[in-house]
Amino acid sequence: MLGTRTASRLRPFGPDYRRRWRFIAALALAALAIGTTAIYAYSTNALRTRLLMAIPDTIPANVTLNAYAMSRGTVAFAQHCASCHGQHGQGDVVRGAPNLRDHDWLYGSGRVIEIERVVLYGIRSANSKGWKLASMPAFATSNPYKLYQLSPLTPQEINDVTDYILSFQGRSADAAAIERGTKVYRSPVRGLCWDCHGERAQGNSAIGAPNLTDDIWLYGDGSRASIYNSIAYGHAGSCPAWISRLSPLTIRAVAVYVHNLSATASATPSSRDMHE
Amino acid sequence: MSDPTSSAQPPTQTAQAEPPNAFRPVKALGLFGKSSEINVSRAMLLYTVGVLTGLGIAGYGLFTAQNTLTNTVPPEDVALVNQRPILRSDFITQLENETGQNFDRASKIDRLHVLDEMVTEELLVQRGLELDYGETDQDTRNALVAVVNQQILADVTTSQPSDRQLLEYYNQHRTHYATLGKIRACNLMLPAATGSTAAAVMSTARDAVRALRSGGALDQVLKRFGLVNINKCDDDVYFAAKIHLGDELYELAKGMAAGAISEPVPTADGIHILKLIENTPPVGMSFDTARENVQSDFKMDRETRITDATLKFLRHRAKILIGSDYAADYKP
Repeated sequence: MLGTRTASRLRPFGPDYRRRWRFIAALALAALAIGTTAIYAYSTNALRTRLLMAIPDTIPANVTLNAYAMSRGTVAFAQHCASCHGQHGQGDVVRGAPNLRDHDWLYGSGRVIEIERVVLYGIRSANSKGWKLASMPAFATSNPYKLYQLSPLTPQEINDVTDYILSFQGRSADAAAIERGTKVYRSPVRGLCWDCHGERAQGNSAIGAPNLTDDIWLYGDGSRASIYNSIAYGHAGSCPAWISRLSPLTIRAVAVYVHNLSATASATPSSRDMHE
Repeated sequence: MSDPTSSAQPPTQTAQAEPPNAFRPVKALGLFGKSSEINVSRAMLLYTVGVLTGLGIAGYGLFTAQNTLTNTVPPEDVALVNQRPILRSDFITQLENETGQNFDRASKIDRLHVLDEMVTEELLVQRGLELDYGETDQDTRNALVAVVNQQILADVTTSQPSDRQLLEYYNQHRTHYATLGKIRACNLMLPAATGSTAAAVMSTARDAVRALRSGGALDQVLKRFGLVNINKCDDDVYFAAKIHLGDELYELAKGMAAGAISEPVPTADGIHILKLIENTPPVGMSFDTARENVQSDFKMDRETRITDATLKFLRHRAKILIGSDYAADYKP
């Protein structure tokens, strides 16, 4: 028997010869698979490390890092952000979720690091590092503002301020109402609107106060009724702090993705244009 | 009957016929023998590969798991202080806040200075935790309560109710959704003049009412009868009118039509007359109009329920002992 086996091994295409090469091939395949996985894991890990260690604002200019961040950010955005901001980041004026595809930033100026801060710590999220300096008072309620004492406005005053805001787009012709509205807007005791929205109503991105002179609306369609309602009932939109729920890598990827949504937008359309 | 042992095979035959599962002596077949045959070299090789793979996976898991003690700073962090991370994002923001310039323009000296500040802060925070300030310092307690509340409500904040849920909620609470209503009334008061009797003051008030009803100009009537226009005929939403007019006058104003003049109403500070200019009662809002308010209320409702459920759970697992003087009356 042994003699036969030895003989068959010697034959180039005998059964043992074939078995040997099958086994070698299997081992080689396994080694190849493990090697490929290891190389992929190493390169991915290297990419991950580079993305996390990079200065956030420099990432969009780096093709490799940007592509990697976008691939992860697209998925994460769809899973965690799209429920408010929309599948394509177009926002929702009913919910007060900002359009992320324009160049109009409520907080900051659209830098990756600023977006990352919002994703990390949220807006009015109760996280002490989040944005929460101000919210829109509800001037038609008995206690318009929680943070400090503000008097309610009368319906006439709310109407007048509405006219003042509409005048920025040339949509109010009532000069007397505009003048009265300007007084309420600039009053240090009644409306106090200028305190957040600025003397010229151009907003303040340091506290998330929208620019009132453009035609971009966070809530509603910019109609008289929707502006009136905003002043009467107030707003305090929020964004959760994701720091304890998403990995730093995912958060950075989402920040890069959102930055790119804006950067690739051609021009800032008005909210009313988008409704039409 | 035959002896059962008589049918057994002789010992010599048993030794020759090998049972199917019997161990066969290992032969040196080389590494690549027939797969159905036992091969020590091959077994040892596969065993070694298996062990090494297992150790590799276990080691990777062990040294990369969260909270693993490590001497390597994770890429998302700029430093680890007693294994507590300082996020790069926080570092960049703090540097930009302190220096007022973009991070990539900050000098190395500035960066190191800020880094040192953050390390110092982390050391002090950790010392504070050691000293249990989380339990004793009120500001820290407030911050902890706020953060935990936020964590509890995070799902509600991020989830969006469907239109069907909102519509259902709106239908259940339809009476809550109404416009604010508006009242514009002149609140005219005849002060109780010293030296005049109540009857005389009331008589003057009635004359003033007659003058107003007969179309007399407001300014002239005010001057002629010594009336004071308390609210300068400003308009108010319903709830504000109730505050400004007081319950009695508010109830009166609600039932008046535009242009109506009320009868004199005696109160503690004098006699009031209402001249109603506009009265727009609150009306129910459609779902579309009230949608934002419905959504806000819907979420608030869910937040309340989730907070209650969480507190119930925390109470359930906690051991709460109440002093004997309150134990009988204490109810969560």
